[in-house]
Amino acid sequence: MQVTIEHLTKRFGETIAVNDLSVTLGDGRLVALLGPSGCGKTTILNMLSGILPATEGRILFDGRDVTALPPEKRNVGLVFQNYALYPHMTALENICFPLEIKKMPKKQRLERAAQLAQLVRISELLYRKPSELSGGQQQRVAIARALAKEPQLLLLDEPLSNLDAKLRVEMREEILRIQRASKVTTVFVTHDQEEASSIADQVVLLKQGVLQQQDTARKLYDEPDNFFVADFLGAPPINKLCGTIEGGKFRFRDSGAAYGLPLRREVADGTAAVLAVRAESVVVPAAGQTLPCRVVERYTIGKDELSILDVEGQRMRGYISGDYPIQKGDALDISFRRKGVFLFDAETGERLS
Amino acid sequence: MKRLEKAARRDRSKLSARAALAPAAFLAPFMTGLAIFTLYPFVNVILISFKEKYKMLTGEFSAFGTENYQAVLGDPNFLNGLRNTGLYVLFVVPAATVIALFLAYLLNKEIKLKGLFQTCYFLPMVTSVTAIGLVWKWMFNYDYGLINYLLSLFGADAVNWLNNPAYNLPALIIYGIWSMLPFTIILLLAGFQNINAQYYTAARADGAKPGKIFLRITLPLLAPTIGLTLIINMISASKVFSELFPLFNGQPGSAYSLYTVVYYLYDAFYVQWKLGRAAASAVILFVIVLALTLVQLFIQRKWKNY
Repeated sequence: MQVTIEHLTKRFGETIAVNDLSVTLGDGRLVALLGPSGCGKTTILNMLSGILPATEGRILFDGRDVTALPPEKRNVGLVFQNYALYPHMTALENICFPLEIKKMPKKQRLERAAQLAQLVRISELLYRKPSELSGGQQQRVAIARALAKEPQLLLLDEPLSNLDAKLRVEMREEILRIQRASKVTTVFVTHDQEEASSIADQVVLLKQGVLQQQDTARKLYDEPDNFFVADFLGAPPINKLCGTIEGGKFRFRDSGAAYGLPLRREVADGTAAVLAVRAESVVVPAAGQTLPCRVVERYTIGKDELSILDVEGQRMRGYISGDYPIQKGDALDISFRRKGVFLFDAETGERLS
Repeated sequence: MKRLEKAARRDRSKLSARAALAPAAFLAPFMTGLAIFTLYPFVNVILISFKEKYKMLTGEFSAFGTENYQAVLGDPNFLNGLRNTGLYVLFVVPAATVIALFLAYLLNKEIKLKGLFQTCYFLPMVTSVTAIGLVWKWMFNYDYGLINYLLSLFGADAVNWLNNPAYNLPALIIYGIWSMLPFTIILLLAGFQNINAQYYTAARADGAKPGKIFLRITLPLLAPTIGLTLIINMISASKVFSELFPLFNGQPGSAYSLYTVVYYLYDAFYVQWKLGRAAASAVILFVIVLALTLVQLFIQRKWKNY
């Protein structure tokens, strides 16, 4: 099912939680609502489910306006952050509960629950109470319960935040697998850019209730519309080198050294700007435009060699291959790849290059 | 080397002695109070109940034996008291719990004047039992009472609540239910508020109706709290006395027919000065309440299913 959000706004008194959001969530896709806490992503989820009424705007499910419909008439499956499994019911009873309400005959109910248990791989845990299940297992039961009534839309609120780091990676792959198998349009909320990037087909990035950019994670990473997007995605975070635009070129704040990038539009001289460089965009040996720098520190992180570099009096991180013999304190020339290097207006965050 | 070892051992033993003493010192004040005001009277009551021909002032008694128990269990007033107490518990506890459940459910909802209602329901808790008893006495009045007036609105005949022995126990039960409500409501309201609101959101999103949600989610999750209120209320109802006293001018009903176990105990102690019998009746009540509580705990363990 395709979900169309048109000019959606939510106000709580004076505060605007969601501001004029328009976005289309593709049929059968796994969509991530991404943003720092307080950006309105859970509010959007609650408006999709109907738990919260919208202040303004419309929500369309396959072209049908559902904005005024209560949750039970929207046919959405909900998975809560803390799972909200009924503690007095077994996993099986939890999964069957939505079907019981639909007055499905008991035999069919049990069959459907068995199918779902197989899908989320908890068949051997069906007779346990939630308190006897681990976090990951509870998560699976919660997803099975949400899928039980064959929803058109599955909504997951911070599905992985209550799990430990190792389980998180495992569960996010599980969510992807379950979504692919059930083919239900799925929206999940997260503040973790890695989580969103790794499994979502479509990432909707928000900041303070305002849409920043929505596209595939790859596109957001490679072609960020503004500084916030470039800064929010990627680990380690993108390097920020400060300076100004002079004569159509970026000039470093202290040294005044120039770095040229093709600009999208005419930019006035003296405009404060940020040269944002991804750590993997540092090239050694240097070719083309070169910048002198000094190695401040060098770490090994797994397979990578991460160096802290001093470039024109400003610090940045860069991956420099371990094959290249440099040591702490060495001076060398570096250059930047074309990809993963952007110029932003320091005031507005607008992308300039 | 030997000396060092010895010194080390000495240090260790000193340390462990102090480590053992410190907690004991912290516990001492509470334990002393408990021993004087709970443990000693408790043991003493049991002892007295077995002392034959016990004289309180001199502490003399003839022998240890079961004479007091025989006398109490053979006394029609005590047996009547046991029956009345049993009936009182049987009617008051379930009725008060059901009504309190309903009221707590309403108080837990977003209703207008919620604060006012909450205050009203809890008012009886902070008012003197005797004062309330006197008000109830007026309400039960045959000629001018509010209750008979209400009955007359429905065309029913006036009931002689306080002077006709047949209606004494019903009157006591009505008053008992009312006086049990506030505490029960507080407990149940706390139970309601302990239930995570997300269960309701989840159930509602699945299309569950309020009745279904109450039966399948609220009630099971409230079961432990209900069990607790049942036990507490059963114990307090078994000790019914302060409700009885003002209603019938300090008499056990209009024709001495409404003895309760605690009234019998009071009568044996303060009026007849038969300490042994008072102690024996207290022990019998204790054993019965203890047994009922154990049964209830056993059932409740089966209830609490998560």
